[in-house]
Amino acid sequence: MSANKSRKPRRKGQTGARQPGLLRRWAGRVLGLMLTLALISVGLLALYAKSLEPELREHFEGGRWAVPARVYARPLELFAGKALSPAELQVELEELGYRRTSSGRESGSWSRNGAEFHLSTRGFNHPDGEELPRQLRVVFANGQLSTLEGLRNGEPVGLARLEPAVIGSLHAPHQEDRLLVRLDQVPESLIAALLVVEDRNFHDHRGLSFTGIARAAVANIRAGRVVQGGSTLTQQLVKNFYLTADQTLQRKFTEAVMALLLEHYYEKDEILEAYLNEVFLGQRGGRAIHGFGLGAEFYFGRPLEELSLAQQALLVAMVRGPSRYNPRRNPERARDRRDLVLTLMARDGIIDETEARSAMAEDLGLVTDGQRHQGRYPAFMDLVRRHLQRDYRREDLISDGLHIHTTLAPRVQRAAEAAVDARLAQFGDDAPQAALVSVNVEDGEVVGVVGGADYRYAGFNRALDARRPIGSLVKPAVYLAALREPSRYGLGSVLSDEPVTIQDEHGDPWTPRNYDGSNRDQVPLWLALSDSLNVPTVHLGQSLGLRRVARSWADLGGRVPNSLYPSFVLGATEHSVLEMAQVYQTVAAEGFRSPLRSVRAVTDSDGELLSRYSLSTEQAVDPVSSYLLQHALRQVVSQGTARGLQGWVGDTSGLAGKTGTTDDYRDAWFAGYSGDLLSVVWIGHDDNRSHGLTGSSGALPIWGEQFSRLSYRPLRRQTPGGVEAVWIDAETGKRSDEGCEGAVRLPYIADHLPDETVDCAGEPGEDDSRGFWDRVLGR
Amino acid sequence: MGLNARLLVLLLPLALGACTLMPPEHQPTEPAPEPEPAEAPEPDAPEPEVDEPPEEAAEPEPEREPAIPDAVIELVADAREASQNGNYDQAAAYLERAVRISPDLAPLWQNLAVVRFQQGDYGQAEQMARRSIRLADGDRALQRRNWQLIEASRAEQGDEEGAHEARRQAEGI
Repeated sequence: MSANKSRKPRRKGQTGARQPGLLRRWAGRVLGLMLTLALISVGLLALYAKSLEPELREHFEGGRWAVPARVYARPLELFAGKALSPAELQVELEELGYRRTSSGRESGSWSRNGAEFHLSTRGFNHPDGEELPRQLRVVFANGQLSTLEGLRNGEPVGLARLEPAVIGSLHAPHQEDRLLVRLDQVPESLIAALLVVEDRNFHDHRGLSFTGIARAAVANIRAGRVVQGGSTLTQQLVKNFYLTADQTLQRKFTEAVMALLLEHYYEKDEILEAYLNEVFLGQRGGRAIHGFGLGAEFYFGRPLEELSLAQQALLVAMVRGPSRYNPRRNPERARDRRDLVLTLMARDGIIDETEARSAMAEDLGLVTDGQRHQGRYPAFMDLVRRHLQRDYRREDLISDGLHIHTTLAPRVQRAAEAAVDARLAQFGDDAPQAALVSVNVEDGEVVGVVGGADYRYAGFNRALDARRPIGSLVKPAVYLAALREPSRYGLGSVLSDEPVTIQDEHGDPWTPRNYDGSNRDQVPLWLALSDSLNVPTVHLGQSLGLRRVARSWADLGGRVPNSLYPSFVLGATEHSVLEMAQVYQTVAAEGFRSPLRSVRAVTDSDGELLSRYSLSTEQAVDPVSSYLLQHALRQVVSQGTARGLQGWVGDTSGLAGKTGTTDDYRDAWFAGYSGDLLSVVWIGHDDNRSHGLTGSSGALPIWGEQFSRLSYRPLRRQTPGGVEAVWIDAETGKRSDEGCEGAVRLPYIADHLPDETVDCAGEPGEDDSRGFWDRVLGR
Repeated sequence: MGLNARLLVLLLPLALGACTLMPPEHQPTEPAPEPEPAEAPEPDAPEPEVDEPPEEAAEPEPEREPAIPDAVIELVADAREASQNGNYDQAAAYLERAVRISPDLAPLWQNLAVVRFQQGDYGQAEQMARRSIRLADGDRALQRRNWQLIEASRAEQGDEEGAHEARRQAEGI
């Protein structure tokens, strides 16, 4: 301020003082000299100003707008007939920060009465199509969304979407977050309040306000301390360009010159808009909160447009001292100043007395953390970042204000997290680690990722980076390789379960064993898979040849090791959970492999489409083999190693999957799917210690817990042409008939039915495996 | 069959759109099948079965034809409009949403195949058509249309032999 004053005489020069005689000549010389000096100063000043110009433009137009990309979940589609529960809808509404009110009629709010919701959506622009704000009545019945209609007119609504939740932003470490607002998005009352409190003459001054300075000086002298700043909004904005709190005279002078320049080059509205986006409003951990848009989100969890008068006044109050008037730490002080702002607003006629009074009666309306979404799903964000790195430069991601539309489904993600929490809690202090990936069966969209037991912590992402032996999760590839040779194998073909010893990769003898340690003579193929028997699998792998098995593995999307050893068929190779999700997506989608995706589209800051990652698919396995394989994987759940799932989800008829356990119980896996959703779960210790659990006892419960919290479509597949259901004798693999002892109904390729037929009247033998066969045949 | 036929009629303009894009030498030799008679299942067509656990085989077959949600019909209408305006990316986005809602509807995949063809993505056009064929058991007209699209896609990629094979498949239905 003193710098501003001291500059004034230099600019204005001298007004003519009259001096007689010699003095006049001297005076003339002095005057001339001073004029020259003044001209030089003005020239220097102009040069100086010119030298500041690029810096100013850079700040105003360039780097200052480094806006990190915002990352969004997928928008939830609502339609009658959707498999969805009230609890799941509520999870999504909470994720969006919707307020629960009595009517649900204000934008971004909802109400619930039993199974009926009223809600008002916000509307949004999305690369998948625009969505207008709506007021909806949503009713649930029979495990699905049963009615969707307009709240006012009661007309049926075919399809509506909730806006996508913000799940984070991509910034460099310590980079400021940004949520830019356009001037027309800012409530007029907020702008008016800001000007009344901070810069009354904003629309009249040219960058500096001397009356403002004078008024501030008087106020400060009266108070005996600094209570008011004399800076205009323009000066405050300039001050914000520099991160230093340096208050030297030179800095102040520079700022004053820049304020003048700013007013010279830019319109008032541009300056105001810049200010609204620049103003410092607090601190979240190591990150500064700049701008009213972000401030509204941080303090109130809502968009700026939806703030109440009281909330607007509170933001304006904080401008003077975001720390001093921090409403979370100093609520009393913040409230006093908010009320002062409201009083000033009323005095200036921005609002009337009644409005002011009712606003003052409001509480502060804070949310605990309006940016709770920041860093909330680090494992999924990790996947998104890796995806984007293929097509985008890092600088663009952290500075261009891009919008990243991802595939994350909050309800699925949250169910996964809750399941991991609940199941790992059972272990007490020595809990193993867990990782999980959930995927849409039909299109390969990744809808949830858990990277570890502490899933909010952005550390080692086990879902993507931990490669562990997969055990029996590999077996579908072995059985698929067999089913692809229908002239040799059908689901009912019998496999040898006799002990076998072969050479391992070191040339040493290797004797694989079944988990229960026992052997039968022969078992049907489907049962060897559903009971996850090792010995028949090794026999099968040997007779097929490892290369055939590896080809099926590759077709499903699995990574094939450089060297193949017999133990490959028992899952000795190491893979990540994400890789397994890809393999089982192909299995679940009946051979149509869709590359897993975590991003649907990227738009620029104006919503213009930059890239779209659309659904792609490839028929990697023929429909018939896939169908037969899937039949066996359903038996895993209905009566095999995953039959315990029934205790979690009740009816398991629409589910399929496979368990996996590795040597000494170091890793436990479960990959399971419904008609629309697939999850792969792994548990194990980072240091590879044994945890003593199998896929069934360790990983399956997490899966069961997750799915028990979700609505899903049961698996229901059309039988492909050329396949028919026939009765097969379980013990011999020969054709049998309905009602015959030991007959099992299996889908078979009509052209490849077993040649021989057993006698129907056979009684089961009285041998050791009696109980085993009883279970198989459901006796 | 009512609902399915309704959807197919709704979708037909898209399919025809693809045909007009095909170069003359790859025009299907026969005219595209008319919707009305061809939509009805052939009397001798085997009824596709739904996979059920053997124990429940005696129960009546569950309803085979999936109900088409209004949401899907809306999205298909949007897709058709976008496609007619030449905005194939947008059309594809609508259809992908529809597919997510009703992934078992063969006509949706067929339409996606058409849009991929319009986008010039012939590889994916074939794959989408294959997916449609997998689901279109018993719907010969749709199967034939899919094979015709595969034929055109292969021809576009210079795979004359493959195109010929696809035509053979289409004619064999």
